This record gives sequence, structure tokens and C-alpha cells, in this order.
Amino acid sequence: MSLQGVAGTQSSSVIVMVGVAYFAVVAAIAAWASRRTRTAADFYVAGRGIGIWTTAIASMAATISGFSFIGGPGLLYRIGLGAVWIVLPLSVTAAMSGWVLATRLRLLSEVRGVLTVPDAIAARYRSTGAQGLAGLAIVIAVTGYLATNVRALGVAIEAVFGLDLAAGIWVGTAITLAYSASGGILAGVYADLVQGALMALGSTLVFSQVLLAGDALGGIGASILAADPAFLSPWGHLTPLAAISFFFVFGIGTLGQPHVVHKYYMIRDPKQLRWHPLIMTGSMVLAQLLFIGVGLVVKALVARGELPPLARPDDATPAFLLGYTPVLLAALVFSGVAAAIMSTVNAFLNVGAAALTRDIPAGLGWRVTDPLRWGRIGTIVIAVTGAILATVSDTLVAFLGIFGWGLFASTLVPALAIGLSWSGATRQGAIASILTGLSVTLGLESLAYFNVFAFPAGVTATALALVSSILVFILVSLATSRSDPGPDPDIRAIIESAGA
Amino acid sequence: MTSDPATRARPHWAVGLIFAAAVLMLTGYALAFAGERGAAPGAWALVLGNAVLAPAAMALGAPLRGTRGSVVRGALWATGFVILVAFAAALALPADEAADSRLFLGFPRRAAIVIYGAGVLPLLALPALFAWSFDARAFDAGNIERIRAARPVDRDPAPPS
Repeated sequence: MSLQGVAGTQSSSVIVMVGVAYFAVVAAIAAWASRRTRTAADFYVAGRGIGIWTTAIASMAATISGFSFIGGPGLLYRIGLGAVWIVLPLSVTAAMSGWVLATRLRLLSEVRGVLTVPDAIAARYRSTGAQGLAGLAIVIAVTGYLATNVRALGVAIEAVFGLDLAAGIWVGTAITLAYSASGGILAGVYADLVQGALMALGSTLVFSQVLLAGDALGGIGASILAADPAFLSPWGHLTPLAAISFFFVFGIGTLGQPHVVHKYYMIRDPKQLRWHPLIMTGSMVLAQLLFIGVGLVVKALVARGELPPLARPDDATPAFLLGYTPVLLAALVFSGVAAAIMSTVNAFLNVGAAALTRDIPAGLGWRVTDPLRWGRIGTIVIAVTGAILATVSDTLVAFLGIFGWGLFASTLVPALAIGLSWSGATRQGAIASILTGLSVTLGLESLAYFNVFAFPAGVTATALALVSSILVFILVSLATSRSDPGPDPDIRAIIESAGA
Repeated sequence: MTSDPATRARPHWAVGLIFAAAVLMLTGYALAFAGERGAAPGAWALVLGNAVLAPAAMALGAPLRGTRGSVVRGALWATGFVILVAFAAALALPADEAADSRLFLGFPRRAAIVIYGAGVLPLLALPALFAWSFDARAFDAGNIERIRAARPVDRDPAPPS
């Protein structure tokens, strides 16, 4: 869809100008940050010098991809309140992650100098093998995630600037790559600050327009109930099992998202971690208002006959923005879509490059001599791979895209989150759970994608892989505890530094 | 602190709860494979699993000792209880959404219980509770030095940066 054809000439000019201004700000941040990136610690953890507001908002921006602005409202419009279960775990995830991981990961960073999530796994289990496997899982997940996000960025650029899709993909990749490779995560987090603020502001303003257009939440609810009561049941048009399963996967799965949890390494004053869940939750709530508000109001407007039924659910946000918001706000949100995607892509590039040039070589027993240079090369390799995949085949992108969240969750939650909290966890348990997460996710997702079999409603490969890897981790750890040397004394002290 | 493997193997009670929750989840998904008959009990298994899993996961790192710990413990129990009640209510109450249903802050009864109960209540409490109970002493220079001193001499202090 091109905005040139939908919005008026004046409107599309405003949208293009705001988009150009946004990209100029990102370019300026890249130029500033690249001059301050001198070491691998600068490149991967921003020299551990970032303030609490920037860190927390960058965590939010890395968590929220373009899905929250385009796919999410479209999903809600299509399936009803069942889609809300994706964001419902927000009520517990920031505090959960803070309690389980914040203090321990940051202490690991202080004591062992770890820079990546697989570094932490290596230190916890004295195992470069577990580090390499975790790195492999991250590279596979990042590649798929990246291809889908880069393609979405191409679609956004295509819509705003009227370029063709392939050109949009390469322009978007080039801009993101420019600041990711030159300024590393330092450029990334400051770009994230701008992008996160843009997302939260745009989403909040759009929500106010939602309430105006829909005649408040009561008016929206009444209109929908009159036309489609099941839409407003707790499960929408999903089964209860499917909706509740979202809560599980997007709740506990948060503890295994490396591009988010590695932000704990970056904060300048770790005592400020106290405020991280409050700021992150607050900004997440604001940024998710658009997801829920637009999905509901567009359904209500269609039910009232004020909007024609959407040809594609993903048109919900553009249709509402162009029809019911001031053009400047629409422009802000279209830039917010690009911002959401770019911040996620940057975070993926960073953890993917680290896994490719640091964690996997460590697993193979290789020592990288110039980590900054190799980090930059890794960033370029992963970005170009993602862009090529996004350009050549939308089927391939769809296939690779299903591995993202689930692979992170099933391979990293047990070994990282439970393992850093339980001194009884063993190296064999960690390796077995990572292998289980990898094999169950890749195997079942592939079989389902190629229609070898179909899961019952509500059962997903991600959920099965996550449950399996947790069970395998605990059972294998218990079975091997007598032969395992246990954590080093400093690691044990870190494990015991938080919790019961 | 102990390095006795037998003692070390004893599971943290939260790990035991996580294991139990994972078994409930697996049971729920397995029941779904039984078709229509298994769907409802499968959903109930997931409700129980989630109600146990969320507070148990938080208990892996939340401060549970002392006065503040007792408040945090209470909050974690309450979180599990709220999730259990909200999800169970959504399953157990009749599906009576209709054009003339009464709305609670924009949503019919069952959806309102889930969204404002399991969605909003913990969201208002838990991040503030985290800030209140956060023990910044873990990052005192003396504590970090104490942990560094415990590192075995043959361990790589820091990967190359």
C-alpha cells in the first residue's frame, strides 16, 4: 500500500517530511556515537555508561517491534480480545525480569566482565560449549527475526516514500546498518531513546484519538457487542487454550530475550536498576495503547458502518491514521513504525554479531583477537544476510520468522534465568535444555510449516519447546548433580545475592 | 554457602514449583491433542500452570527474607491468586456477552475481569514493589570486591574487550 495513493498530496508530503526528519536524527546519532566507540565493551554494552531512563526506554524499544503498530492492531481486529493475551503478561514481566536477572547479570558483568548473554551462560556453567550452543541458537533466531523485520521496514518505506519493496528493504537496511556497525549498541541505545519516545508519544496521542472517534471505551464496546459479541469474550475468536497459552509464552519467555536482558549490562550506575521495571513498564503501557486502541476502534467503526470492512487486517492502523487523526500525528506514527522496527533490528544485529563473532568461536575454542573489528564485520554479515533473505522470498521470510521469540525463549530461559537462580543447575542440564529448545522448535515448526501435521488449536511448537526445555533442564540437572562440579564460588555468591 | 553436591542438588522450592507448573502446562497441551473432549480440561491445566509459574519465577530472584521479604512474599502469592481467579472466572462464568451486556470500563464482565484483574492490578503493584524492595547494597564496592575475591585464580577474569 502506498500512502501517495491513499492520502492526499499535501498529507503525503507532510508524512514524507517527518520521515526524512526522523532519519536525519538517527543519522546524527550514528555519527556522534561512532566517534565514541573504541572498544568491544563500547560496541556491545555501550561502555557500561548509559543512564537509567535511556536503558529502560531502549529495553522497551527493543522489545516492541513493528508488530505492535501494524500486525498487532490487525490481529486484534481479526480475532478479537484473544490478541490482548499477547500483551497481558506485561503486568508481570518487567518485575519478573528485574528480580530474576537484573542484579545477577549486572554483577556478572562487574565481576567477570561478561558482555553477552552466552558469556553469562559460559561463566555460570564453566562451559564454552554451552556458550557456543546458546550463540548458535541466537544466530538462527536473529536471522529469521531480522529477515521479517527488515521486510516490514521495506514495506513501511515503500508506503511512505513510494519506493519499490526491494529498494525499501535495502534503504532501511543501509540506514540501520550504518549506525549499528559504526556506533554499535551505543548508537543503538540513543537511537532507541528517540525511537522509544516517538513510539510512546505517538501511541498515546493516537489512543486519545481512538477515544474521540469511538465515543470512549463504552461506545466502542457497545458498537462491537451489537455486531459481534464473541469478539469481546475474553478469548475473542480464539480457543481458551490458545489465549492462555499466549500468556505463558510471552510471559516467562521474556526472560530469554537476549536483545532485551543484555541491556542490564549497560547501565552506568547499577543501583539505578531499582527504577528499571517502573520506567520500562510505564513506557511499554503507553506504547501498547495503540495496539489495543486501534484494533478495537476500527472494529467498532466497521460495525457502525463508518468504515468499510478492511481488505487486509494489517490495514487497520493506516486506515485509522489516515481517516481519523491529524496528518502530523499520522506522520509521527508512520515514523514510529519505522522507529519500532529499526530499534528492534539494531538490537538483533548487536546480539547476532556478538553471537557470531564471539560466542560461537568461543564454543569452538577459537579466540578472536580484534573483537571490535570482528563485531563490525559480523554486524554487516548478519544485516546483509537478513536483507537478501527478505528480498528473495516472502515464503522463506515467513518460514524463518516463526523461529524468533520461541527459539530465544526455549533455548535461553532455563539455562539463563533458572540456572542463574539455582546453584543445583548443572552444565549437562544447560546443554541438554538448549539442545531440546533448538531441536523441538526447529523440528516441530518445520513439520507444521510444511503441513506434515497440524497442531490442535492453541498448541504451538514454541509452547511445547519451552515446556520441554524447562523440564529437561531440571530433570537432567537433578540426575547429574553428583558429578557436576557446581558453580565457581564467585558465581555462587552472585546466585545468592538475590532471592530466598 | 556449601559445595557439597548432595546439598547443592536439593532444589530451590521455587524451582520445584516451576517444575510442577511445567508439568501442568505439558498436561494441558497433551489434553488438547485428545480433541474436543480434552480442550476444556487442557485450558484448566494451563490456568493452574500460569498461576503457579508467574509467582514461582519471580520468587527465583525476589527478596523473600525479613520484613520487606514478607511483603514481597505476600505480593507474589497475591499475584498468583489474581491470575488464578481472573483466568478461572473467564473459564467458569457463562459466555453471556450480548448486545445488551453491561460494560465495565468498556468491556463485558468476563473480559473486564481478565484485563483489569490479571492485566492491570499486578502492573500497578509489582514494578513499584520491585523499586521498594530493591537491595542496592549488592552493588556496594565492598560487596563486589568480596565476590571478585572469591573467583578462582585460574578463571578468565574478563573476556577480551
